[in-house]
Amino acid sequence: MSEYQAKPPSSVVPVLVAALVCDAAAIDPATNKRSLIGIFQQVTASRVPANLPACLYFKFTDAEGGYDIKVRFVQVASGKPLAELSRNTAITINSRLDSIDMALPLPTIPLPEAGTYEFQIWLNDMFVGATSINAVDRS
Amino acid sequence: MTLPGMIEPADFERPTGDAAVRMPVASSTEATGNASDVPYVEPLPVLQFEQPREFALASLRDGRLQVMEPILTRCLSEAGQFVMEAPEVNEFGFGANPTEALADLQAALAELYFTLASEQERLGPDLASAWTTLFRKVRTADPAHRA
Repeated sequence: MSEYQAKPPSSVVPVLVAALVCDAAAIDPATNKRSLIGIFQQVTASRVPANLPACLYFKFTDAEGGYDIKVRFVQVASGKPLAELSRNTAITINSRLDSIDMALPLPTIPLPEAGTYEFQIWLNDMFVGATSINAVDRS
Repeated sequence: MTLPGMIEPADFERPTGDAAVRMPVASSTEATGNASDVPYVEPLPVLQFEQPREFALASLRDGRLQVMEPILTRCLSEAGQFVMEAPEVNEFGFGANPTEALADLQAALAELYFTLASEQERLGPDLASAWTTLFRKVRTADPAHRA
């Protein structure tokens, strides 16, 4: 049984301090530092529908206890969720003073049409924030 | 340097009018053999879930305020308009889509917090109850607005 399963999900409300969409995130194995490559908020598609490979980076603090992390990719105009990502294992945070960051590689983000899309970040089913990208149809 | 998931420089397009900004180009249904050209795939039916109609809101998008306890939020739609409701404090947000309605609700809650904080001595029973709930759930960094 994991540490998280032994504890109930935390009700402490975390604060999202950053959420960015980029091409890739690299982690230096020596220092564990993250480097975000190609941060963007607009994407031009040669035509839609299209798929976009990207990476979502986010960081939160003021959290304590066990958290189940979920990211929903939503088409803003319709409110329709197009994808959902859940971590296979939840995380446990020991101190509210800690900051936790994550970079989730997303091999194929579906863009069914031009418009605004957002990545919603949910921790223990609490909506903590979102970041959006705008898809433009070049055709 | 090529990293997993990285878009090759060839896929970047320089937008007109702003040479300093580069934007990634999404792949289309027409694969060209490039690493980032992934044929479009409709989301699998298993992924076509609904957004929750009721959820816990943990942010007011206002740097002055921190949510200490999640705020129950309901999403309703009426005649093409989306309504986000915070029933515990009887506050609403409206918009053409859920995101707009939620942003409107977040702004309304922040405004309500500061209005009630400054009018604490003169609140009727309903607003006093809303203030009690909001004060328990939301904290401000500004001491002027603390009870």
